[in-house]
This record gives sequence, structure tokens and C-alpha cells, in this order.
Amino acid sequence: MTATEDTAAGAADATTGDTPADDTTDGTPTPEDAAAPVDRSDGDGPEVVLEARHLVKNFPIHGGVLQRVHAYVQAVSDVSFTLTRGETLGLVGESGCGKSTTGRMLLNLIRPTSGEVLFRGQDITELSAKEMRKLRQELQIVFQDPYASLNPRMTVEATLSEPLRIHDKWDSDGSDTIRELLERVGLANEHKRRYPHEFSGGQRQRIGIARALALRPSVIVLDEPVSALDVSIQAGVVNLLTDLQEEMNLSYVFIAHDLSVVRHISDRVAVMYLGKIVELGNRIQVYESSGHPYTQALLSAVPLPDPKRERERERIILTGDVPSPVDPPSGCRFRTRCWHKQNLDVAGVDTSVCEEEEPLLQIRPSGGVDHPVACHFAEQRTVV
Amino acid sequence: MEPLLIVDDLHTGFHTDGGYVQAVDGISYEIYPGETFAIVGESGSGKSVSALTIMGLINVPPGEIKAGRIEWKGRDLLTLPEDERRAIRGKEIAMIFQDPMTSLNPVHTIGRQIGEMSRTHEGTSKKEARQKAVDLLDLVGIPQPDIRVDNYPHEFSGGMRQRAMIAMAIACKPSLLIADEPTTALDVTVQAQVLEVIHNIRDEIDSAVMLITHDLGVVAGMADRVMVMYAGRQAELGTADEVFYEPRHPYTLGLLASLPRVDEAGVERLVPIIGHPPSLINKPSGCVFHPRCPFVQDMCISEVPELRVVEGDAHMSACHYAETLRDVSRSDLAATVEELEELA
Repeated sequence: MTATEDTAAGAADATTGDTPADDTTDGTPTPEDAAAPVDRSDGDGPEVVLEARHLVKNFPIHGGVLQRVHAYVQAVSDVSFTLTRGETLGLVGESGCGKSTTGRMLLNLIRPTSGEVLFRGQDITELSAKEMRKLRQELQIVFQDPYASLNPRMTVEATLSEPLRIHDKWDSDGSDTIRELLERVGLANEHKRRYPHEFSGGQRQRIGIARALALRPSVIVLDEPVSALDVSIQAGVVNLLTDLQEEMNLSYVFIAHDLSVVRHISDRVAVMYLGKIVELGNRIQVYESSGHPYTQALLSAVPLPDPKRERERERIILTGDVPSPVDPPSGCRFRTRCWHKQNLDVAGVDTSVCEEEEPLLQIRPSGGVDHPVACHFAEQRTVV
Repeated sequence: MEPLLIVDDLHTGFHTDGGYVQAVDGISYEIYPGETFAIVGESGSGKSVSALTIMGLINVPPGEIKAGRIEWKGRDLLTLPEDERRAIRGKEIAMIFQDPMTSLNPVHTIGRQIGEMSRTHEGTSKKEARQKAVDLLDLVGIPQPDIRVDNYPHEFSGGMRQRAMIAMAIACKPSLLIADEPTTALDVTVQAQVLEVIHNIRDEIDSAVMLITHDLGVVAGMADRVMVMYAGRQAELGTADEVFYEPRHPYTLGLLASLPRVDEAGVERLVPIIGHPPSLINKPSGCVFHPRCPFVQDMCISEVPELRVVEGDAHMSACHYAETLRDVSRSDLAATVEELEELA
């Protein structure tokens, strides 16, 4: 197995060869350890509902008179993780890191170039459109923009009943189902006759969530579900998502660029950079003892609503811009902007391995990192 | 110290098909030389409109500046003839906008656009203007400025474009730099770079900065003083420490409690502000925040609260009951909001 499949300290998978159990049990169980996914092989851990295996997506770039393919955007390059029942996996990274493409591949909305997506053990990337439609009851998505993702000509009732009708679940109890859905997301039954333009952004996002819930899915991919909302409204939607998860035992893949929201809502977090996961762990591991220089820079860049702490903070400021995913750097994709490598170079350490060899996502005991990190020189640090 | 800018009882509105939108509804503040003054608020709070009014960038009609005074270094900007106003705009007061792609002209080089500032306001020659553009790009941290000066905007990344915008804004060493959501379109690591540039520039050219943003984190790191706006009115005004650590308006309190924090794992539940922002056409009676306020009283519905000093020399709040907030903790607020949510 790859290191990516096993993530949590204390829940280390001792049965699977290449992960040394000694390095992963730190002996101080945190309350969050319970939320970490565990070994699937012994059968009594939480059920894995969704698994990404070596997902790759290359988008062709056409050019010239004949519109031939002359290059590929390497949007996602070998991404693997698991999602267990009732847990939230946060997928964070900056624009262009491949987090949304990954989210869409999980639902088979984008077909991967290679790799597999297993839903309850079944590879969904191979399914026909008809077979996939059946599975869509289980796998739903909520989009970022509540203005663009609702049909302006459909009433709320029509929007919410559509999935039920498509899946032949619309019957005489239909209107009860809709009332229940609306109440569940904090709206009133009389809202069902209204059109999207009559609602505020926060209310629209609640309608989008109700639509995703209509078929009682087990997995919901939330693609930046609160980033278009004002902060005061955002909190209510985040609380709603947490409540729904508890009531319905839902699994979430929460895609966002806002590291604060991700910390609040996620059990585990995967940090992506230029198409790859660079760090994966439970939220305490990633936020309080991160091991990858990129995660550390990202965390240190988030401004805190706390003037005194802000005045004292030393920021890790990255230089340069994210390289093009058409021609990513060799070896470690972060090396061109890596502050840690720059410091090591100054100190005279030989860092040629960063250029020559791709760092694997694995536990790095030498740097005191107890969860998978893709850095040759990983070193545990507390940044926030 | 004499203030650079005095805004006094400013009212800016817009005539629309739906009615008269009171975007800025009687706000007053001063900005002093060299300080960073932040205006925070959510969408529709009037924070950008108040800046555009200062710049003279409100189209009349449909816009209308109904009342108020904007005094710049002793001169009333609103009654100044357009040519004199133009001489101030860009030279003494400059502005950077949220979206650097739509604010740069795609068919001219970056260098020409930066150079245009000094050519227009200072009459420098083409050659001097180009050299000045190179120096400015260097100042805002663009690598190889002598080559980059001849690039077009599409050859720049988002963060570099925003730096180019800053270079353009500071070309004439303005005494006031207005930054309207300067980093909202940028990724967090690039945001950190750009904020650092703005911070350093302020010291370098000794200019005051008016920072308009919805991000309380950005405010905390940058601002000396903070003004919180809600539905076109001022809710609170004070130093950054006062507003963040001793908020005296229920809206400010609510904003701070609704934020998840990257440095805290503790809180299990965020505290939302119940309800929705009001319509700016039919504003609620009394305090505009009263329909959403967890501590609402009868007086809040009948009487508009004045912005008044509630603590120290200059910590101001527009809440009838500001003093009572001294004893409200986050958990008190959370409990009250939870009760109200259940009632609803």
C-alpha cells in the first residue's frame, strides 16, 4: 500500500508492511484520534466509503491550425486517499492546485486519465452512464456559487423534486419530503413556491444543500460551499453542515481555500500543491505540527483576527509564483518556491535530491513528523 | 496632528428602479497622516461607496451625494471644480482596486501605464517616466523590473498585477492611498506578499492608507484604527486593539464570534449572526442592526443610535447599550444566539 492510505497517528496500520508502527504511535491520544480513519484490513474500523487510488488528470491543450494536442495541463498527478463513514476530509490548496478537479473525479463528473475511484469497493470510473446514474443517489455535490448553481426558472419545489423524479422516488408523500428537506436546512415550507432570485446567498446555499440531501446520499463533495458568503452568514451554513453530518452520518469531502474553515470542519486534512497531496493528517497534526514547508508557509500566511498576535508573528513569505502545471518542476514540485530548501542551501546542505527525486507522501520520523508528508527534508514545526 | 481628510455626515445614494438606495447614510471620520485606517464591513455595508465618493468616482446620476462634506487638507472636495479635483485624484489621493485584471489596460505595457501617472501629474518626459516605472516596479518587489516594464498585463500573474497597480498608485507619492479589497482576489500566500508591500510602502513614502476589506484577519495585521460599517452606517470606531479586544457594538461582537480561527481548535460551534442584512431601500427603523441583534430592546426599534464615545478618548459605538457589552463574553453571546435560533 502507499503511505497515503494510512494517515493517523495512533491509528497506525501495523499490518501493512511499509509503515513502521513505532513511528506512528505517539502515545498521547488526542480527542481527535477517534476521528481518524483506521486500518481497513481488520474489519472493525470505520467503514471506508470512498477511496481515491492514484488519480491522475491531464487536460489536453489544443493548438495550431489543426488543433492538435501539443501539451497537457497536469491538473492532478497521482492522488490517493480514503474517506470513511461520517468523516470530513478537507482538501485545501491555492487556485490551480487540483482540488476541484479531484472533487469532480470523485463523482465521475470528470473521467480520470488514470487511477480509480472506489465507492464501497466498486470502481466507479468504469461504470456506464446508466449504472453511474444509479450511484448518483449516493454521491452528491454542493457547488460554490449559489447564484449559478440553481436554475432561475425553477421554483424551490421543482428544484428539490427533480432528483426524486429522476430516480423514480416521487410519490404521494413527495410534498412531505420537500417540507422535511426545507425544515432540515433551516427554511420554511412556504419557501417552496419561490424562485432563487427571491433568496439571499446564504438561503440559496441552503437550497443547494437540500437538493444534495434529497436522495439521502452517503457522500457529499462540498466544493467551496461557503466562500461566496459573508462571514456572518457563513457560520450558520457551516453549523448546518456539521448538524446534518451528525444526524445522517454523512461523509464529506470539503474543498476550500480558506484554511480556518477547513480546520473547523474537517477531521482530516489533505494539503495540495500543483496537483499533488503534500501533506495528509488529522487536523491537529496538519495545523499544529505540520511537516511540509508548503503547509507551513500556507498556515503562516493566514491572517489572524488578533492584532497583538499579528504584530508578533513572523511570516514565512514565499517568493515567486506557482509554476505552470503544463511543465511542473522535476523532483519536488514545490522546490522552486521552497523557503526551507533555500535555507538549507544557504547552510550548505546538499539539496540536489529535491530536484532529482520526487518526495513520496510518507511518515518522516527523522524530522519528527508523525503523519505522511511529501518532503525529503520534512521537519515538524508549529506555525500557528 | 491635523487630519489629512475629514469626512463629515456623508450621505451617498443611488436612484434605481426599485427605489432610492441609501448606500452611505451619514458617516463621519478623520484620517491622519501616516496611519492605516481600515473600513470593515460585509457586502452592501457601504464601505466601497464611501471610498469612491472621496475619489469623486460616483456617477451622478444615478448616484447622488445628498449631504455632507469631504475636507482634504482644508479644502472641500465636493465643491471643488472638476479640474482641481482631477489634480488631486491620482496625485494626492490614489486608489487600488480589487481586481487588477480589469483595472489595467490590456493593450498598453505595464511601464507605459505606470509612467502615465508621472507624465500626467508631473509632466516628466517619456524616458524619465520609463525609468521611474522601473524603479517603482523594483520598489514593489517585481523581479527583473527593467525587463518586466515592457510586459503587457496578461504576462503578469495575479499577484504581480496587483503589485503593478500599487506601483501605479504610488507613482506620485500620494498622501493617502485607498486600497479597496486589494487582496481579495489573491491566494493566501500571495496575499501575504502584497500586504507586506503595502505595509512597507506606507513607511517608505510616508502615506496614510485607507484599507477597505471584509477580512478581519487582514485588518488585525494592518490597521492602526478600524471603522466597522453596517448597512451604510457606522457601527463602531476605535483603535484595532479596542475594536478586537473590547468590541462595543453587538455587530462587531457577532462578526468576531462567527469567525473560525486557524490558530484555535477549541470551539465546537460557530456563532452565526441570525437573519440577513437589511434592504438598503427600506431600512429598519431605529438601529439598522436591531432585527438581527441578540440584545435588542424597545429603544433600538424606535430611536436611531448616534455614534458616540463610549470608552477612553475615542472608542466610539453606535449602540444605545454599548456600555453593557463590557460584560458579555463569547459564551454569553453563543447562549443567547442559540436560544434565539431555537425560537425561530
